[in-house]
Order: sequence, then structure tokens, then C-alpha cells
Amino acid sequence: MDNQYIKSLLDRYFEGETSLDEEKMLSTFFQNSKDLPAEWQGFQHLFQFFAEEKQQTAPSNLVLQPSGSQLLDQSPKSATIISLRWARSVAAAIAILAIALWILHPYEFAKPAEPIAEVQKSKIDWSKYEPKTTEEAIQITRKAFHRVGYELNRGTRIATSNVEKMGQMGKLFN
Amino acid sequence: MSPKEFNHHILPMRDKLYRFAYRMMSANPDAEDVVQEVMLKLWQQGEQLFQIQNLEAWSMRLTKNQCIDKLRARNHAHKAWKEGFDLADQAPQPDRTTESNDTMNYLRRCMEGLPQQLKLALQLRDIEGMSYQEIAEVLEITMAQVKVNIFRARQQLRDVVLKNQTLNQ
Repeated sequence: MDNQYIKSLLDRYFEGETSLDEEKMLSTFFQNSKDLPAEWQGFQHLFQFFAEEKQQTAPSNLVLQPSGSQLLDQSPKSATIISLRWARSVAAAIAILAIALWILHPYEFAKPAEPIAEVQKSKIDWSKYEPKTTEEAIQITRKAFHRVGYELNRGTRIATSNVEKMGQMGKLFN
Repeated sequence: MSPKEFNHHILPMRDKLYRFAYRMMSANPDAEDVVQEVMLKLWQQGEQLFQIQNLEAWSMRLTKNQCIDKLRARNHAHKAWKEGFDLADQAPQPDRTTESNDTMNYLRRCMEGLPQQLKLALQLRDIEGMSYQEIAEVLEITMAQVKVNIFRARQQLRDVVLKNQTLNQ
């Protein structure tokens, strides 16, 4: 191979502008050539070094076969594993949200919740519903009886109507 | 995934993953542990593994992340990962190398002395023969960064080679 071409390839190689094929060509050239110019002998060592490093293999005692006990013990997982990093992010977000709520509404967090019955008791003024005179009390009682009577009559009407409908349905089935 | 599929798809990558881990960990026993753990994780992926577009690049990335975890667990290792090493400090003295006449060992130590990102980019390109795109995927950096890292790594190695050559003459 022309030395001039190799020189230009070398220059481009050190500039990081060579393709994989060109780099392979350089490597082959330096590994196979003898009696190279003195200034290239260092580069020859460099390419030999790369080639030698590529020959390095994993130690044979490394248990990697699926038949090895370690791999067989670990069958392919079916369940999704929740990432610890993701869980940490969620926990942090919840903590920030809680702190933000506490800052925005400190009183709601500080005050103990009052029982609902007590709140209602304290807010409703029952005295205004109390009858003031006997006449008023009679009126209220009368209205209450009217209401009860009306509801009872309504219930009877609905029951009668339903019984009639049931009778008609019974006739259809007979 | 069956053991047969594992042997066919995963096992051929073993040496490549080991070399990468070895380069990153700078210590043989740790690299073996990393490859073992990576293989286990690949096995545990089951059928999902075949949905990955570039399995080799994905496995290399898994190895890199596993190495980072391991390095972080080790004392002072994270600092080394971030800052790299000073090549001038780490490289052996040329005269001593001449005495030992071990050029390969000298180059190995020079490469070891490169900052981590340069070292890994060079390993993947000049030893493993990967494309810039694949290297970018493995190292999780841009193509432009890959090119710059390879350029710098080669420049540093060239300077070391030329310096050593001058001193030997």
C-alpha cells in the first residue's frame, strides 16, 4: 500500500475523521507490515496494542451458562419491579405536597376537629321555633295531625292502587 | 427465554462486555462481578429482551451503569469517574519502559491513565470497532461528544507514543 496514502489515513485517523473501514485498513496494514519507517513504529505498536486488547476474553471460570446454578435459580421475572428511584420520587412529592398544605392551611392542621353535633348545636337557634302562645301551639299540633292524616291516606291510596294492579296481573297469568 | 436462546443471543457478547467492564473497573475481580450481574439481569428480562432494537448497545449500556454503581460503592471511585486521571501523572516514565521493553504494557497503562470518558470512547471505537452512533447510545452522550472524546483520546495517545519514540531513539 502506498505510504503517502497511509500517511494521509493516519493524519485523518488522529483527527477522528476516518471511517470504520479505513481504521480497519490501517490496523491490518500496521499489523502485517515489516520494515516500516522509524517514525511509524510507535503507531505500529499502538495498533498492535488495540488488536491485542481485542483478544482479551472473559475468564473461563465465570459462570454464565444458563445451566449454571445461579442463572437457573433466577427464572425470568413476570412481575414488574418498582424502581426504588421512582418510589423515592413519589415519596418526596407526597412529602412536599403535605408540607405545602400545612403551610397554606396551618389552622386546619393545628385545630382539633369539632364534633358535627356540637357544631350544629352551637349554630342552630331552636328558641325561634318554640310556640309563643297556646293558640300557636294548637295551630302547630293541628297542622302536624293534618300532615300525618294526609300521609296515611296517601299510603292507603297507593296500597289500594298496587293491589288492583296485582289483581289485573293475576288475571293475565290465569 | 430458553437456555438455547440465551446461548445464541447473549453469550457471544460475553467477552466484549467483560473487556468493557474490565476497562472501566481497572480491576479484574470487579469486572467479573459486573459481567455476572449483567448476564443475570439479561436473563431475567426474558422475552422482553428481544424487543430491544440494538441488544448489544443496550447490554453495553447496562454494563456501564452496573460499573458506575460498583465504582460509586468503592471509595474515591466516583471522583475518578467524574474527573478522570491526569495522563501525565499516571503514565510510566519512558526510560523505565525502555528498560522493561514492555511496550504493550506501557500503552495499556497510558490508556488506563486517560480520563474515563475518553478511555471508554476509545475502547468502544478502536478495540470493539463500534460506530459513533452505537458509542453514543452506550455512553449516553451525543455523537458530537463521542467524536470529540475520540479525537482527544487519540491525540493524547499519539503524543505519548511520539514522546516515547523520541526518548528511545
